[in-house]
Amino acid sequence: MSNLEQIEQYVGYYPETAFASVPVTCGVTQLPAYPGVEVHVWTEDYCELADKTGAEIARFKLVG
Amino acid sequence: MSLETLRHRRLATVNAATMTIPAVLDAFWAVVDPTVTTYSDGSARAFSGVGATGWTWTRVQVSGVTEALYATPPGGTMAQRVILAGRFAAPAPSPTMISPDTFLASGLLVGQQLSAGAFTTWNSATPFTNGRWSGYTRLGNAATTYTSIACCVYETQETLWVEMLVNGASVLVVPIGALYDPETVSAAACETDGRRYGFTTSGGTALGSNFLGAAGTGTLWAQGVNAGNTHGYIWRPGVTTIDTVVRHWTSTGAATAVTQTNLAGEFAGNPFFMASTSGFVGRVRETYWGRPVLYHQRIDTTPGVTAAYGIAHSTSSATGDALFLKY
Repeated sequence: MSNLEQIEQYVGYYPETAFASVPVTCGVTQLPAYPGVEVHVWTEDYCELADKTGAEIARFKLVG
Repeated sequence: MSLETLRHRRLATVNAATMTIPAVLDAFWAVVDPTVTTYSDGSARAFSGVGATGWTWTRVQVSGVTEALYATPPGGTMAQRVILAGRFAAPAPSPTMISPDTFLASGLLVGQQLSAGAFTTWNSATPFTNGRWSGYTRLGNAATTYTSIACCVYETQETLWVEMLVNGASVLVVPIGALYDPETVSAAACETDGRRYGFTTSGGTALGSNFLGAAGTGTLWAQGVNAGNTHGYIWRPGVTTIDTVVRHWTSTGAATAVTQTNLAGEFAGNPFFMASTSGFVGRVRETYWGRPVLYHQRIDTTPGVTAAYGIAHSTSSATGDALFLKY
């Protein structure tokens, strides 16, 4: 699965997601399947999903 | 030249007192407690020295409730650590999972660290300070869904096999550690210690009778696309990237006692090899594809293996795929 597919799969698991922070190295800047989710690129090596209040929902690492 | 030969030793099995994740972790703690100085066959459990197989485990409790165990191998230069963890609900911050697994309330989580620094907390994004943390995968379903859980661990100098027998009949297992010998010293193909590290989980579904020949749920060394599936992960050398396993063996599995026993009645142990999405990885260390055996059966006449423990899918039916772990 591509990085985009992995991230979108997690957003599918957590439909309350409003914000997704993703590693700058993963090359993902938007989620076409979830246009309402705001993508934030950061220097951490894991992804973090948050709800509309900014509360963290889940963290995960992408795999190659 | 091959790496040091791994020797598998099985600790005594302990049943979880209740079907809760703290009870499961406490049962694992009773299995691996540093005060346990012998293995299930009576052999000594040494924690240091040449050839020692005893890992040093630490229990992590929050307000008296066990939430994690972490393990340090007896040797090695990669500062490897393994964490078993779980909680009735996700703590804050949420534990970092490895794609595509998600946190499972009351489920057992397993993760691996390389180049460890000091332990922080099990649900930190960096449980051992350093960034080479795998994230957690899952073994089994929620503890609350079972009627019994028997916990067991095999230790070697550099690897662990973490196993649960649930409902008295279903085997779930995670091998984890320096599982692969790349059979090369080329820097790009191995960690600085010449090894390749990783883990694979049977996931939420217990091992099936064709767990090596098949590659779906309830197998090993396969990569299911959904949370709770069978997964396999291998570290890319020297970096924080983790690749997923790629099987390149060609077999339907379904080994039989006849095809895995020679004419002298000796049991064959066929080595096997692993690749990842980024390239060939190496030989699965001292783990062999063997004749069908029962759960926890020990094999003592394996050519080239000398003696081994069987990893099997069943307590009652010696048919189907099995792995031998060199004693």
